[in-house]
Amino acid sequence: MDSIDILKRAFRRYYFDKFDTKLDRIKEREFGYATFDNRVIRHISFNDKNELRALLVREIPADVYASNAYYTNPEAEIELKNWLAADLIFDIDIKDLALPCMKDHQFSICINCKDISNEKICLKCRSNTKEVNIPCNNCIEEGKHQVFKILEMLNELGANKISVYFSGNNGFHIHVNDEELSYLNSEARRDIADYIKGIGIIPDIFGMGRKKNIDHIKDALNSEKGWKGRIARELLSRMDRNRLISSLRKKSYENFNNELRDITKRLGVTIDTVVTIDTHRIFRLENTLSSKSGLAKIKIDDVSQFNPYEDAVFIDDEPTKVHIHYAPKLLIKGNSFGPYKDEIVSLPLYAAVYLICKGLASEPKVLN
Amino acid sequence: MEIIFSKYDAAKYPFLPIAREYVKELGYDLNEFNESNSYILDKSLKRILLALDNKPSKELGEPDEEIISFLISLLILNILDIRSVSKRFALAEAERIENFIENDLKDENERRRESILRYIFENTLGLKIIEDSMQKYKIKVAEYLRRSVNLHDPHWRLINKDVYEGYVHLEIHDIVRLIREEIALLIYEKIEKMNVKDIPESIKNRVEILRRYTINDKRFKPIIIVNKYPPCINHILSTLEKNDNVSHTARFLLATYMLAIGKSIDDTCSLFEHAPDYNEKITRYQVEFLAGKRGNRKSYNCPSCEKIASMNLCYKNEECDNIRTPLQFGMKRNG
Ligand SMILES: [Zn+2]
Ligand SMILES: [Zn+2]
Repeated sequence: MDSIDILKRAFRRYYFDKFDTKLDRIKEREFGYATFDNRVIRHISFNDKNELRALLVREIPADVYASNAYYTNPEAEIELKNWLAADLIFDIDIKDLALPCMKDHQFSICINCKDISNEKICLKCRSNTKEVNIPCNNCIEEGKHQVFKILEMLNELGANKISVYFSGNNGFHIHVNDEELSYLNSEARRDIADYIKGIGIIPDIFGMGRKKNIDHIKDALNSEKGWKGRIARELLSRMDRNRLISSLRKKSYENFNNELRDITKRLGVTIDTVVTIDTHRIFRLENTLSSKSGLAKIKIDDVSQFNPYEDAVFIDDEPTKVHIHYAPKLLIKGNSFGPYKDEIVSLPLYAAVYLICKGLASEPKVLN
Repeated sequence: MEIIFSKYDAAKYPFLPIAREYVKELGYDLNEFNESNSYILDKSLKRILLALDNKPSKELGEPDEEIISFLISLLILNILDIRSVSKRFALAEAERIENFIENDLKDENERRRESILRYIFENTLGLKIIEDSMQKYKIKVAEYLRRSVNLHDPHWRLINKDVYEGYVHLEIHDIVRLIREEIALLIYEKIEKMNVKDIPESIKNRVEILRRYTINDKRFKPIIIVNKYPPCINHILSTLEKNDNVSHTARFLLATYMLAIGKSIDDTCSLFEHAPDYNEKITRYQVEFLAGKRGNRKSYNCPSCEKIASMNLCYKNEECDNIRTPLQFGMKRNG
């Protein structure tokens, strides 16, 4: 990144003036961070949040991570850490939702000539391009919809101490700090991830196995709770009960199996399984800034009211001159910016940082 | 609530302390069984042989005989001292016990059901199970998952169960199947803890008969571990060698690795013979599936080291030398 000075100034002021965390069991967690010159440092630990803050102020990391796991020796290499337990975590990435609005706000910018296109290699200068995505309102609302679904399912699982976070860029993180669930191994977590995603359902639980059982079918259609309840409601929304039962009687195992898979895929939540099953992951730390946006990963109290361009902006508004290569119209902190095309503009620091992080702006070249 | 257990219960559940106490009450000493009791000694030996063939008797015999033949079986297995034989016995006996528990949980007498839940599940296994409605029981999600991950049939997956309010709601049959491995472990531990001082010749003779029977049976031969395997693979092999259960992902890793280094399907299958829940047909089907000879004819690759680490199966040491897949283990890296 050729505008490190602006970013570091902004990040330093944030960590110096505003950073705080309610993260528990700090001593038992592994921390890691990435620097603005792309080094990654892992396997570090802190006694308390003051030590953590001291590092943030000293190093000004581009990204900061903490393990969801608790260890006896968080600093040691992986085999010697002595894993104790780990929070259950879920990652909802809006990009994975394949929303139709994506084409309106995802594009590529050439890292060299700054040409805007949808290509991986710039057609003008053959340099690599950087993919840019500026999530729109619809994206964020769809992401929230996924959050509500996951909360419903976690409630079925009896999960306690659930926190919802804005991921800092393009999605949501769910942290479950429930002691009983914290001891689960990676295979058990995979089963939970599959439950949340709606993967692996078999027709047999609806009495629609290779050998049909009409009583079982009728029984299952009365279900209210859990996956059976969700599926029953979906099926009954399509036709009335009697017609549904006679159509199920006639339906082949394969057809019903496919239908079930479609339904569970749609009603399930789009999460990244790899994150959930990895019990040794380091995951973005709450209240730290993302170098992909300059926004903070923050805990959300009221999901329906949340607006990242309002509630996750913590960088100050010092006027800052930037060279904007390209920017669509943006609304940050209630202020509207752009659109811009190859111009030098003075913006509040938070907006300048957002565009630099997205690769759309850089520090104006100083003439010697 | 008072627990109501009789000598019939001790006969059904001879792994519980009540069985031991009952024998003591009758004044028996296991070490006193000699040829004049050959009937019960032969019955014990037969009990072991049936268990090894996975055909334990479904019927409950006369209570005293049941309890004593069980305890003498443990004694014989302790002296025989072949882990794979003990494990197989323990698993088959646990399966038999499962049927008894299932019937008892279907008993009309509520106190009887409650006694089973309290005495076997709660006190012995430390597992809290709550009667939900008639013929239905519920168990906390975490307790369920800790056990169900070792069961590979899709119907055990959480999504195929009734899950709400923090509990998995199960039929009796599922509840008892869920604890099979734990009961087997209790029986196995009992075998190891048997006191074998002053063993009469009559019992030693039965041990020798059993030894001759098992010695040529490939199911009970130790696996040869070649030290050229990477540590992750060695770890799975040594777990199997101990006749311990191996997770689904570990099985996947072992099979795809062996196939990738050119082992035959037969050789790969035979590595699983030691798994306590070994089933030849299912194993063969699964290995053939991974080799791309079944189903969608897609063959599966051995996972990368990174993937293996994320599955908690990585045991890397210096010898691994930054390889990216276990297949590179021991190979000189270019450059
Ligand atoms: Zn270009
Ligand atoms: Zn959008």
